[in-house]
Amino acid sequence: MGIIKKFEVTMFGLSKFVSRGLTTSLRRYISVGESIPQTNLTVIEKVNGKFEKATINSGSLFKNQKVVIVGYPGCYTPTCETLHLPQYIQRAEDLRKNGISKIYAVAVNDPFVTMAFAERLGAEDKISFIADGNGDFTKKLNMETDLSAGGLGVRSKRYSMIVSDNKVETLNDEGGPSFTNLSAVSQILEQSSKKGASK
Amino acid sequence: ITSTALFKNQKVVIVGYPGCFTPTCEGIHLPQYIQRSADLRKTGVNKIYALAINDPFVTASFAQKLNAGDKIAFIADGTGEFTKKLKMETDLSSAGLGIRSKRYSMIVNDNKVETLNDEGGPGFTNLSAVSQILEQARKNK
Repeated sequence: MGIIKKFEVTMFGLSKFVSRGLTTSLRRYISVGESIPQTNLTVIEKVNGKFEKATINSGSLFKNQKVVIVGYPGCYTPTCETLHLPQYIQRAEDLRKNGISKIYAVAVNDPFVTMAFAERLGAEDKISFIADGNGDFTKKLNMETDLSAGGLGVRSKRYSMIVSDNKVETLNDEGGPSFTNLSAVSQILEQSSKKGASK
Repeated sequence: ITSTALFKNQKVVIVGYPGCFTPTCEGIHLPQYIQRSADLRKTGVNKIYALAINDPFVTASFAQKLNAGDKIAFIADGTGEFTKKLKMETDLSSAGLGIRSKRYSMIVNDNKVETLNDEGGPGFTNLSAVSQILEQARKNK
């Protein structure tokens, strides 16, 4: 009786170890070649001169076109507001010339804050915003980072990606909130023009 | 700043609200407190703190947009730690807001809760309006 119990305990422990190992190895970030996981997204964009909010399924948003998704830590944070996003707004036209139909800036912020931020940036209709208020989309991509130390809670890492027909074609992952040339618009412009040339 | 250092030896009003830039908070609830802040001071309230689960950056921009000036101060409870300690949180995930503060107002005297007006959720009624707190502050003067 005692031996069977010991066996059960050992097998249980072993299976837990194996499953945890599997989970760890499965929990990697979204990578090139993968499809964007199906999610309902809150999209904020300027329609007829006014910022509107709509819930759209990611599949219908990203299929049959080439888009750029820019992940950023937070609305109104210094880098996002003064450096990172303004770049994408300024070069939006150049990205379009490279075959990018739309640019989506995504952060773990609610729709209200995101809309106010879009107005403040003067984004107009150059870039659209995804308000990932509960962080669902960011977590599905495994692109979240804990910025609780800064009073921000769980947020998106800074990254940029080219998504073609719902598949990740290119990913530039800063691995955290910092801003380097990796997630800058210049990098994505180069990557999208190469792809465009190789069409 | 630790809460005790902030609240001891004085009388303050704490106004909990669901979120910066949300229509009711921005259009009605907080502007009331900004407008009547001088009247609240006359009843012996030293400071008014507006508190929501938003990060410091969003909160600072919101305070600017409201033209709060020095009339009310803001507590940016970014991770929700303070709100959870008060057990005043509510789940607004269905609106894409996540865990937020309920709407409420309270008078805190020497770090002790003297009066609490709890809306129980995000709704805005006379209960959490500045008129209610003004009346209560005058009574307890």
